[in-house]
This record gives sequence, structure tokens and C-alpha cells, in this order.
Amino acid sequence: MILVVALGATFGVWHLAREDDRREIKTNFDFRVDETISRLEQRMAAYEQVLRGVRGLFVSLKFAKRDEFHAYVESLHLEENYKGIQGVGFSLIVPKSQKDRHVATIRKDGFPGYTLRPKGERNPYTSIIYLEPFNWRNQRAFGYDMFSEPVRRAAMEQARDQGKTSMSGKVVLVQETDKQVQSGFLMYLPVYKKGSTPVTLEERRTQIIGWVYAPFRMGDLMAGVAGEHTGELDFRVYDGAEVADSMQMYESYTGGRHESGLSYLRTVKRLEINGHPWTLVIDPLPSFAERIGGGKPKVIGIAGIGLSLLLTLVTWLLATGRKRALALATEMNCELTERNQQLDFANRRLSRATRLRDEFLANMSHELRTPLNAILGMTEALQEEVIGPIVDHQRQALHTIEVSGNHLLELINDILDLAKIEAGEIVLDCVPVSMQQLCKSSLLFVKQLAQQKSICLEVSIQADLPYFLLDERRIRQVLINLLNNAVKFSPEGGDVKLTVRLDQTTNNNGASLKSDVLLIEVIDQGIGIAPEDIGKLFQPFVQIDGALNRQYSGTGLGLAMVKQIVELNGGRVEVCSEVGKGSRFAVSLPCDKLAASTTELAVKAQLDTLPKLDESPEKPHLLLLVEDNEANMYTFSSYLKAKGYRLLLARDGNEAVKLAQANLPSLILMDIQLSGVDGLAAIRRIRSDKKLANIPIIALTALAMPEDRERCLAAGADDYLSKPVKLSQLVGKIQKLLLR
Amino acid sequence: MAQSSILVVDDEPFNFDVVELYLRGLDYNLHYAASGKMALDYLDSYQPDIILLDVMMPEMDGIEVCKRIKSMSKWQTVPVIVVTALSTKDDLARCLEAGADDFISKPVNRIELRARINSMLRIKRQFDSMDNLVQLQYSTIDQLENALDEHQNQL
Repeated sequence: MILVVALGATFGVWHLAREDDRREIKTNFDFRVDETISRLEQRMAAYEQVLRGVRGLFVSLKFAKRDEFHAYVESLHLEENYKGIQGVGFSLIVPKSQKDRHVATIRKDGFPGYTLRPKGERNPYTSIIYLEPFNWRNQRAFGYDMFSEPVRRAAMEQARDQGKTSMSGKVVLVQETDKQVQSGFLMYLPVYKKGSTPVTLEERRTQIIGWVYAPFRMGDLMAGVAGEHTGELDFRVYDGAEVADSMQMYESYTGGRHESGLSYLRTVKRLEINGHPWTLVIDPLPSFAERIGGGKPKVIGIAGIGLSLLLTLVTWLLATGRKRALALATEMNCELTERNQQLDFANRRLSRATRLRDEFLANMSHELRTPLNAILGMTEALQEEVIGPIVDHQRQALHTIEVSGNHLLELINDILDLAKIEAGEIVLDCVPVSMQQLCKSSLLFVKQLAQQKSICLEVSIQADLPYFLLDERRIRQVLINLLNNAVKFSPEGGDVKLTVRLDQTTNNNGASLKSDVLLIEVIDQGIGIAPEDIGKLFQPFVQIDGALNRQYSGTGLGLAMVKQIVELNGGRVEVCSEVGKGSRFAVSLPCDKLAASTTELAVKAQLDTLPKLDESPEKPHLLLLVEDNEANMYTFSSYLKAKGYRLLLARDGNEAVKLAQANLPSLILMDIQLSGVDGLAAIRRIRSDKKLANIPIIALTALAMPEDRERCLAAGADDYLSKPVKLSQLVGKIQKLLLR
Repeated sequence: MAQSSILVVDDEPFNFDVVELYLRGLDYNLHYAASGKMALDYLDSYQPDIILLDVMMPEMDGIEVCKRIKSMSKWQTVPVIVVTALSTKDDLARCLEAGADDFISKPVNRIELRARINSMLRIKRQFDSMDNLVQLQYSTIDQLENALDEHQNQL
């Protein structure tokens, strides 16, 4: 009973699905047909454009010579851009009276064997005098009189009389050999004496000088049109508005009879291309039916029957009771044990894969470093002029390579280190370390960046610290990473504090057990970290600000590495942070790692006096830019600021002199063509002031005359650049003068 | 024809150096702005014919800059080429949605950069000449209307 009802329902659904499926197949097929036809039409339009271009050549040059024609057609790259076109040619009208002279001219042109073909008396003759590309196939048509053949002649006359592109009916091209003969057709565009198309029919007939034309082989043309699913549709093209075997120009399917079971889909389309009718007949092939068709109802039918049977089975199972259930439970138990074994195996494989990954990372980083070393080395050699002399802008380019190369190297090094730590390959290399020394050398690395941002680095180190047993290189890496982050995320003019002291920490075991730790803190007043982000901080490749708004560069590896190294040393990293107020990173290293016999080492310890790092850092150079063109002013100041200089701006000579006196800049960039007091006068006034006499001046001028240079230098400029100024070159000159 | 002016917006001046190097020998007037804000504030001074815009910049990213440029009627026809290291389709789609006219991926290739700039300038010129034509037509219409008014008054 259940079976009968279920099967009935299945039949109903199957029937609906089949209707649905047929609709879908039809839509799909129609879409493919439309797509193919529109592609064909687009192609034909593109070919017509080619002919128009060639006609344009004739109009603009009065008459194109052979080499001009050749160069133009070659530049079109027919084979790449216009697949299917056999060539582009020009057929010239030769009146009977001029035949001999014409043949002689062409023969003299380097074609001694040239004749008009086929032989015989006609008036007028036409001759294919140009046909590019001039390959062996196309050379077969050289000198051929297309007017002598009725199909071609009809199209040529139509083009001439209507002044429009025309297409011939089905022909066999002269280019065809005996093998693999394809049907073909030709496209013509008339060329008249005065260029434009004459108004009356009479004028058109008298003023025509020839045709630009293109031959097509149908098979080659259609090969690309069918698109990605070639072979799923049978595509036939007939010349004219009727379907007749004798007029068939092309059939895409060459495998003989086919039966897809979808014959109801056959579509007949009539196209008109350049005034010429074509009829297309499209049938689906069995492969189309396989890809698209018929699956759903079948699936539904089978699944429905299957489900019905299952339903019956379940009912039966319920009826036969718990004996089966028990058996099933035992079976499941066995399966569980088996699964557990599988899981265990998978786990082992996973850990092996992790290890392999780390090994791979490490190896890869090594492999990456090798070529990079060559790049950096060669760059350095070039910069040192070991290989040969270089000029300023080359130096700039080399500098860019060097900086970018170094950045890449840093990234690779970070990846390598992290991979090594994770692969458990790092062995600590502990030596007695003076914290004073360690801090000093770490600070060196961030000093430059801090100066650029006018950030004050404050250091306080507990005075009586002993030597500690530490892996110096890696702890320095930790310090550099933390300091670098602190400086990076601090606003201009902020403070960064590094403190090192001994501290006591409560052991996990209870409040009574206290142990000594070395506490290193890095405190900044930067952007801070939101509480929900703190957890993510130490994960590799994670940066808190999103990918797009990346205000701060970096790999996102730094903190991951800090954590790994500190933990490897048995220590801990802690963070307290508040958004907008700043962050405090605290590294505590356990005391049992510290140097045991502090007294012994203390004797050797020389109390290093740190350089006064906490005094305000050296300020970047101040430049005075004198420029009255706003676009240039913004470009220069933007660029130079980005390069780390400070800038003063003046718009005329007077202002420039005043600002120079008031601020004593390190260097002056002076535009010469200023309104009011001009640049040269301003330079003279600056030079006449004793305080300013030694400030280097670079003159900028748009007048690139040789005497300009002399005038600028005579007025007191140290160097000279003509506009448009290459900014990289400008920076080169600035650096050179500032170093002097 | 006047020299075309290209504004490069990028927080990293090295990238400008690269553009400068790549376009050497070509008759362009190159301008530089180190931030999106700078570019937006001084568009009237830069008078760009085309803008090369970096995407990853601090404070205001390139997408935002592009949106703002395209919302200014005076500058919305200036082609914006976005220079980006991002290459997922989503990222590119976002650039286009923000109004970018084209994009170049980093590292920039010299031939591609030149070609894209050329093509954008061509579009800009076509637009400008269309715009001129429209203005001309408008003034013709004005003149005709004036003439018509005069004739009507005389009647």
C-alpha cells in the first residue's frame, strides 16, 4: 500500500520535472544560438572596420604604394586580432586601353612574371595588385581579375553602385589548393577617385578606381565563432535565403548523421550581413544533450523509486523490532573503534604535515635569500661604481632597489626565524650579557625612525644590575621589535620609554613563593590596542588594522616572534593597553636563567655610560622652498616631507629673504621666475647677508637655456636644475649639498 | 596641445620615483601628493588630467579618495587609475564601484603604465572635445534665442 502511494507520487513529480527540464534545455539552447550568432555578427562588423581603415589609407595618401599598404596591414596584426580573415587586398580597375602599360609597371616593380589572369579580352580588367600578408597562399591570387567571375563581379558592382560594403555569394577562393578545399566569400568596399562616395550612380560608375577587399575561408572564419562549447552544436551556413544543399557554405559537424533526441530544438535563422543574406541552421548534437539535458527527471524517477522502497523497508524494520537494533549497536561499536584508530592515524599525519610545512618554510626562506643576496650585492657594487661610473638618477634608482631589497630581506628573515622557532630548531646560545650594552645596541636600530618622527626615547636601567645569562642576539631582537612597534605606533613628538629592572613576581604556586625576575618594559603613548584585539596580537601574520587602511607597514610577524623567543627563554610577555592612550609591553625573564655568580662577573663589569639618548633627538633638515606655482609647490613639499625633510614655503623673493633670515634653513630651493623680486635678485640678497652666505642654494628654472645656468651660478646658486624637475634627482642634489 | 598633467597620490615617495623613471622622456607634467587629503585639498592647484591613486594609504585610503574625487562635479571626468597590490576580484570590484576608471597592479610594469596612461588620456581628450562641442552648441542656442527675441521685439 505504502509502496503504491509513494510510486504514484514519484510519477507525478517526474512528469513535472520533465516539462521543466525541457524548458530549461530550450532556454539554454536558444541562448547558445543567440550568443553564437551575435559573435558572428560582431566579427563581420570588425572585418568591415578593417576594410574601412584601409580605404582611409587610400583616401589620405591619394593612392597607397605597395610598401605603405604592406606596413599598414602588417600593423593590424590580422592573425591575432582578426581571426578568419585571409588577407586584405586591393583590386585595381584597368581599362583595356591601359592594360599593357599597367602590366609593364608592375613587372618593373619587381614582379617580372606578372600577368592578368585569366587570359582573354575583356573591358575593363581588374587586378589584385596588393594582397597582404603576401604569403604563398595569397600570392596565388596576385593579378587575378575578379571581375571576370560572375559571383564576384555581382558583389563588386553592388559595392560600386551603392557606395557601401558588399559581400559575395559562395565561391571557391583562388587561394585554394587541391587539398582541404573550403567554401569562401569576399567582402568589398569601393574606393573612388576623390575619396568620398559620389552622389549619383553615374558618377560612382565613372569615378571608381578599385576595391579594397578581403577574402574569407568559411571554415577558418567559423572555427572561432562557435565558442567554448564547440562540438555541441551542428552549425550550417547557407548562402542566400533558402536552405539548399548546393548553397551550403559550411557545416561545423563533420561526423555524419547524428541523433540527439532533441530534434525539436532545430533552429533556422536568416541573417543579413552587409546586405547579403545568409541562412543558418542549428541543431543540437548528442554531446549538448549529454551536458545539459534530461538528467533531472531521470534522477527524480530513480530517487523516487528508491525512496519508495526505502520507506517500505523502514516500515518493515520497525515492525521486526529490537533484535535488529541490538545487532546494529554492536556493529556501530565496532565502527567506533575503527574510527578512533583512523583518527589517531590522521593526527599523526597532521603533526607530520606541520613539521614538513615548517621545514618547507625554512628551506624556502633560505632559497629566497640566495638570489636576494646577489641583487643587494650587485646593487651595492653598482653604487660603489665598481662596475663603472653611474650618473645621479641611476644612483637614485639603485638606492630604491637597495631599500626595497633590504625590506624584502627583513621579511624573509622574520619568516625564517618564526619557522625555525616553530620547528623547534632554535637552540639558545646563552652568554653573560650586560643589559646596558644590550639596550644601547637595540636603541641604535630605532634611533633613526624616532628622529624622523621627533620622538623622545627615554631609557632608565637599574644601576646595579648584574650580567645575565641570555641569548643576546634573540633578546635584542625582542627589544628591537618592541621598540620599533612603540615608535611606529606613536604620534609625532611622542615619548617612548624603556625601563629595565629587577622585580619580584608571585609564583603560580602561591603567594608565599616569590622569585626574582628581570623586567623589561617598553611604554609608549601611541594609538593603543582595544581589549578585544589583545588576544590577536601575538598571532603570526595578524595586524590589528585591516588590510586596506594600512597606516603601519610590517609583516605582522614581529610580536609573534617576541612571544616565541621570550617563551623559549622561559619568560612571559604581558600587555596593558588603552585605545588612544598608549601601550605597555612587559617582558619578564625568570631569575634562574640569570647569571649565577653575579659577583664574579660584576668585577669584570664596566659600568657603561649610555650616551644621552633622552636628550631631544637631532631634528631633520629644514629646507626653504621658494616657488609661486602652486601645483609645483605642493608637489615638491609633499615629496620632500615624505622624504623626511621639514619645509618652509615662500611665494616670492622678499618673503624668501625674510624667512631665510628668521629661520636659517639648511638649504634653499629657489625658483627663478618669480613675480615681484625675482629669484636671481633674491639669491644675491641672501648671499650678501653674512649669516646666510653659506646656505646652499639650488636654483630651479623653466628656461632651459645654457646661459641660465651661468646666470644662476653667477648670482650665487650652488647648483641648478631645469624644469620639469626630476624629484629623485632633486633629492640627490639636496643630499649632496647637505653633506658638504 | 598642452602638456598633460599627471597627479600621483601615494604615501610612499619611492613609488613616485618609479613612476617618474618609467615616464621619463615622455612629455608629461608630473605632480605628487603624499596623502589623499593633500590631493583633494589642492586639486585646483594641481589641475590634473589624470590621477594615479595608491589604494593602501594611511588616514584616508585610495577608495575613499576616489569616491570623493568622483563626487566633485569639476573633477569627476578626470580619469582615476588605481594602483594596487590587491588583486582579488572583490578588491578590483570595490575600486570600480568607487568610480575608478582603470587599475594597475603593483609592482607596476613600465609598458602597462605607459599604455594605461595613454588610453586614459585619450578618453579624457575625447570627453573634453565632446564637452567643448556641447558648450559650443549651448552658446549657439543662446545666440539663436537672443536673435529670436530681437526679431520678436521688432515685430
